[in-house]
Amino acid sequence: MDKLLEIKDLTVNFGEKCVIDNVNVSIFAGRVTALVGESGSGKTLTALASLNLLPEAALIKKGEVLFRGQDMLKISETEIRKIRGKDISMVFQEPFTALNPVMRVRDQIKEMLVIHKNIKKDELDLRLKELFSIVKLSEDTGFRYPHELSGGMCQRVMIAMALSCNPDILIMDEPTTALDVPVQKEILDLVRQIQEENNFGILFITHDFSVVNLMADDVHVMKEGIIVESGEKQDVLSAPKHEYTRHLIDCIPRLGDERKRFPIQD
Amino acid sequence: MNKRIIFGLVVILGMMIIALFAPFIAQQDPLEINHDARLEPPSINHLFGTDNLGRDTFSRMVYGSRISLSVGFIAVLISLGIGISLGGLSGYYGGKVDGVIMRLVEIMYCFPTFFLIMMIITFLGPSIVNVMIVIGLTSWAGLCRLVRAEFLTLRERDFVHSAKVQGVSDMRIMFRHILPNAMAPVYVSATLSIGGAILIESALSFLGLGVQIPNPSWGNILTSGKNYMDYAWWLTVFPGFAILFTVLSFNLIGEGLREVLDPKLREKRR
Ligand SMILES: Nc1ncnc2c1ncn2[C@@H]1O[C@H](COP(=O)(O)OP(=O)(O)OP(=O)(O)O)[C@@H](O)[C@H]1O
Ligand SMILES: [Mg+2]
Repeated sequence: MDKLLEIKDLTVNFGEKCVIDNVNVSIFAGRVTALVGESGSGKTLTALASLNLLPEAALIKKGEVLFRGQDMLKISETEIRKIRGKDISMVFQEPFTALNPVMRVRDQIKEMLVIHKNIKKDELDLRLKELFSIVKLSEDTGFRYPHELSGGMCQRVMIAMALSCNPDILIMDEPTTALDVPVQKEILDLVRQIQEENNFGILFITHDFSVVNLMADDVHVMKEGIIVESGEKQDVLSAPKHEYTRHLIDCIPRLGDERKRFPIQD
Repeated sequence: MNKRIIFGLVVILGMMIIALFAPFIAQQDPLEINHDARLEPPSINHLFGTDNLGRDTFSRMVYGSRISLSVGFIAVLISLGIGISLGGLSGYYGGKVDGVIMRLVEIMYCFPTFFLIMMIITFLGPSIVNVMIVIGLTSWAGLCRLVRAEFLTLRERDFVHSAKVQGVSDMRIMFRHILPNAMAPVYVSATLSIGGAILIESALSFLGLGVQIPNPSWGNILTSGKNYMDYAWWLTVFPGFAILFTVLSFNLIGEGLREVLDPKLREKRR
């Protein structure tokens, strides 16, 4: 397995409070690494740390984030800016607010290519066309503003932005929490399909084990800044060792019950 | 559309056309002295009468509109440039940068602006270019605060954070992402400032610190008119109204824009 990024012994404090405690997570090419835990467990901070974008108040006590042999926590701002969005990109929970309200969505995707790639106008247009087809949006959508699009469409735009420069790693921070269930599934299927074609690694953050079940290869369960359980999805799901993991798994609405209440069309 | 904006725009567009086509609209040379036609009241030949040297007031005012409008626009462009850059830096970076810039703004606020402008002009020598620059250089403080406040709230928005995560540089985030979202109040404030700048220029010219005689401006026409106010009313009334209407129009556009652009006010009217 091709290890793309490794978070090693990461410990982060806010003042005296330890919010990430000795966390070890690796991301592999072609695999989805899920980070699961309830609200406030430190998932987002772990993801932001790997881009060296922790809030100013955060104190990195120890640890490193290795990407291409470099420690992301140590390299210069100019260097890391070239990595962000190009080699490691991120998709957020709220697609609507993550887009600039006064900029056409096509221009927002275009900006990624303009700042990270040195390409000519016709190549640019070609790549944009390709991106819209990858995320299954019509090209006219690009000429609209975020408020004219649905949540699912906005999330597709975000994914197109994130994928625009062919990143090695895609971080998704609860990418479907703000969407309704059918749209959720569409987006997740789309992401998996694109991943199969491009072989990038995904760090997938969620609090929902039913999404883990759909998406993940490897699972890390996080609680109060500590990873309490790690392993391959099957192992964690079928034989959870930690009580907290069992508790989270119990929160999945059982499929049988759900089917009775609202039949899922597939 | 908003009535105030329409009224204001009609007046200002009219003014701009007059200023642009001044040589065709003014039938007489604004500088030509005619001792046989001193202080003549308005007539067909002299729509707005003549002044104490027999010059045609209408032509002088037509040329004066060029001064007023260009001072208004250029001074505000200068203050926009300074106000937006400093306010943007201040609001975006916060911390020490903000501290220094805000002290500067406070210093600007401490001076009574008009007297500061008078002082500098006296020092540099009166000329219309100096007037534009000095008004611009002294009137950015309010805009700077406004832009800073907008940036302070906008920089916390998700789309700014997301741009940062995607490797967009600070400069680009400030000017391509945040600024366009902060423009609504800037438009309002800039429009109001144009009126203010025109008023200051008129006052300076009135005091002899702006446009120098014999070149006409609304302010210096008033100066020569004030000595003959008792019997040559046209020398004060016409330029006075010209200043009034122009400034009023800019203010109406500004207020109208505020109403149209401010979502809170829009809600209230519903
Ligand atoms: N800027 C900050 N200052 C102080 N504490 C913070 C800050 N940001 C996050 N925290 C704390 O760090 C902890 C972890 O936050 P984080 O955002 O990583 O949680 P999360 O697992 O992503 O939760 P959620 O599911 O709600 O997104 C929380 O307890 C939060 O209170
Ligand atoms: Mg989070």
